[in-house]
Amino acid sequence: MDNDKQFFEDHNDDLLGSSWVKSDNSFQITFDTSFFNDNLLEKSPEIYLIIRNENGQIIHKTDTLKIDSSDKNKDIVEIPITIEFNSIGNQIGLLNTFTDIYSNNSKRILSAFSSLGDVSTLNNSNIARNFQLLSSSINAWVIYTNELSWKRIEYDGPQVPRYPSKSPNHSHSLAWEQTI
Amino acid sequence: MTNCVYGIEPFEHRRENYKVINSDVLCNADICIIGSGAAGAILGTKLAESGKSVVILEKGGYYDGESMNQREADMIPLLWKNAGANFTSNLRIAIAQGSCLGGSTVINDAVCFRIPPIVIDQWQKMGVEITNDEWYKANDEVSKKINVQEVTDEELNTNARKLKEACEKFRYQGDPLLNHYKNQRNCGPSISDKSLKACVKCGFCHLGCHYDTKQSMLVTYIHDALVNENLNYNVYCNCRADRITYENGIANGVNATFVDSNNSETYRIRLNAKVIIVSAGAIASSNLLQKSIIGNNNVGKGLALHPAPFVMGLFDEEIHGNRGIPMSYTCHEFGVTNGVEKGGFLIESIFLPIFQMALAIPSMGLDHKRMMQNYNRYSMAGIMSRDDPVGKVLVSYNGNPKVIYNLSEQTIEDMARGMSILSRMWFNIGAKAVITSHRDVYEIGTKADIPKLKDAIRNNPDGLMLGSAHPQGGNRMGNDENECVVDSNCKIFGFGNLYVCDASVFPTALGVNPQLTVMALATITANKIIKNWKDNNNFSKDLGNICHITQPRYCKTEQLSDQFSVVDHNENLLPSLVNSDDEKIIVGENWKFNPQKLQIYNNIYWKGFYGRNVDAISTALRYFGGFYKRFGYRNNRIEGITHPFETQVINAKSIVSEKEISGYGKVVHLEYQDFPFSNAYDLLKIVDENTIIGKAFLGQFGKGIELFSFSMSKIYDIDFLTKQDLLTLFNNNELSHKPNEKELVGRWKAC
Repeated sequence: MDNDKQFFEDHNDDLLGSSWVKSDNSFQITFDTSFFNDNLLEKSPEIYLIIRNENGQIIHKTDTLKIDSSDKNKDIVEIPITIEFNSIGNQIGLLNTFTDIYSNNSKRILSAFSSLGDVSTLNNSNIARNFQLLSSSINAWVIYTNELSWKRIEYDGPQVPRYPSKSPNHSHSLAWEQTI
Repeated sequence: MTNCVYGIEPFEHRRENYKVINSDVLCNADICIIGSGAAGAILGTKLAESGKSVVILEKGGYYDGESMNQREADMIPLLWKNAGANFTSNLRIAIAQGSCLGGSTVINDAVCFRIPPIVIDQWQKMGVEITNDEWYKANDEVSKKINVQEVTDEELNTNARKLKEACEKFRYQGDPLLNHYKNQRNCGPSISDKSLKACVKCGFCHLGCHYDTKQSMLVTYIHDALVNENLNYNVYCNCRADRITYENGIANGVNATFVDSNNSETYRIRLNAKVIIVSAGAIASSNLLQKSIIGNNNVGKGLALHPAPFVMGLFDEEIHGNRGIPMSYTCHEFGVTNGVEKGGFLIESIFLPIFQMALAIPSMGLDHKRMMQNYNRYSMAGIMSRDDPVGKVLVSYNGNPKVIYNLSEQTIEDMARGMSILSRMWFNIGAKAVITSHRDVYEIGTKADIPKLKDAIRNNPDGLMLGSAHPQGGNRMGNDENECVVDSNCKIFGFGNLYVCDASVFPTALGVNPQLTVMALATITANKIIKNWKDNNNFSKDLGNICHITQPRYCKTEQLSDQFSVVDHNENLLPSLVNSDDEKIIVGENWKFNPQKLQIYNNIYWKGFYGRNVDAISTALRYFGGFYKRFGYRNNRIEGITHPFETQVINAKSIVSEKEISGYGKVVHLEYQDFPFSNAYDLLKIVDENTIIGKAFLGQFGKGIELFSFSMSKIYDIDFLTKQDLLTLFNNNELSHKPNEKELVGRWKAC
């Protein structure tokens, strides 16, 4: 990619040319240097790498590297761009890393309350009851989704790990049956 | 055939074959089913087994047993409709429905009741032409498949045993209760853990079954179809059906949108189908019909909810109601299953995990804290009322279903009676106190206080905390087109190939938990569709609102950019670039409206479209900078102008020429003439005589910086109409008319 000043999106940058990856994982990009000879705005190409996940979302973008295309003697330009795996984190499903399917739940809840506002008719409902509903919802969410409150009440709680697939050998027997 | 579940959520591992959608989708299938719950899943599998290609669209996501971690904070937002925040419009009744692959069968308590004979009789008198024999056979077929069996004595937990004891010791008007017994449930061998042969009794049924022993649609019909290589069966999850399209009484497809966890649009799908079945569940099915302007004015009317208050007994001993099967015992004495023809109620054992319990108890502050500390000493049961179908579904401003529902006098009286009976039952077996779901009388210390509860319910029914898990009705079935929406085949009146099959077609409330009846109805309907199948319908060529080279107005910017790189410019069509000589609209010549497709043909200019991205800049471009280009012959060549819709001062003149550009091939070059536009240029590719895609550049020709991609069209859907189009439609007597009173009544009537 040629990293132009971005008016809108990354995908609007000029494509320099074709590229392919070799068996040793190095890759080659060929482009026409004459493009830059009489271009007032750009005198040399810029290269950067972006990594997208399966959904096409950009999950990593490297720093931009300027290439001196006037150096005719250089057939091969080494691109010292490194990608820290940690900077990508768990975002790439393709790399068989773990995906937290519960991580977007706060977005789901906010979206749900937005829809609720759209379908409710508050001027036709009981204000006191609505207030109680709201306060008891917040109260229940803050206190009773917290494991500390479970212990205080001696609620048995879930019987499997929070991420069951991360513990493939977890038990399928129930805690209260184990104590009998 | 490799069947697959598609969705937009990336997962590292799924039990079924799963793929992530990363572009718009266009597909054809014999049958499209909207919804994958108790009805949709059975219809899909049975129709696929008959040799039809089936595609199911499911609004919720695909979560398998390994995703179901028994935590309310994690699972309710994932599996429940509207993340659990699903209420009637007056916020009086919380409605629990599943919104995931498998629908409500994934989150219900696995209770299975056959349709009561009284209800069959009542429905037949209301015009439903389904025989007793058809119901019984369908019930048998489904029950075998999902392993419906009565719970064993050993499976009754302490909470259910308390209800059993209460029923055995209670005298109503001097007589013992004779009709109370164990429930039937659909549990059985797990498909993921072969060591599990029956219910594990963890008590988390309505957070999804981690162990896969609950025989929901997810692990029975849907699983069986997906793994059967002889079937043509695919499911699209995270996919919201927006509109069913049709022409002359024939439905031809569905436009749908993939939505993410924000409910934001990502990609779209157009599904062309020969038969379409709406099985989105009561409320959502009515909503889809209303949004598609399908059906008569009866759509959305006659909704029942089975609203259910609860009563808990507080005992000295520890009960641990959360341990074990939540719903395994029912008192039928006062319900339709004991011959009560109107109204009535069942008393069903139930218990809630801690967060839902905290929500349900109607006290506040220290009282609430004190009551929650007794969590392990409660025995709980609900009063499930067979309510009158007095509710209705309307479409909200943003297109969501708005449920209007007020308790009828009969239902209020049933609740008052039921809650007082259950309170007495708990006291009879030694309860120290009774906790109710009424805000004014949420705790009763003695039997003598029970009349206060009864009075409170009658005088202030708004004070009840009510839950509903069984919405039914809205698209009533029957043989009278003036009263009903679908006939006894579940086919919508006026359509040859469009069906509604789910609890929304029930003419009245069922009076028992409805999943088995919905499944039986789906079985009956599938058999009828197979029997009457006529394979003479062709797929529509209508593409719907998805990105496609012939309708790039629906593409995102990056899709436009990609298409520009690969599509060939059609040189022969250069003359079609030239617009009508007349700059004014002449209806029927340079401007036409297709009322069937709701499309406008406009040859006064080429209407420009930016990508349909929803980022801030794209939105701003669309809002402030909509444009058109108009071309004509001048000076023996084609010249054009580019013009924003709203701003009169900008009128960029250009000269048209065809050129060969490295990397793009043959293109049309728009060379702007006057400063400051002369610093920019466009490249166009003519796709067909009504469609162009292009790129705008800043700088010297051939070396400019690309600004953005766009498309232009002479044909566009009514969604994109301009002010001029609207005025033309409004003012032309042949295209529109002043509505008479009869047309308005029922559509705009205040509710």
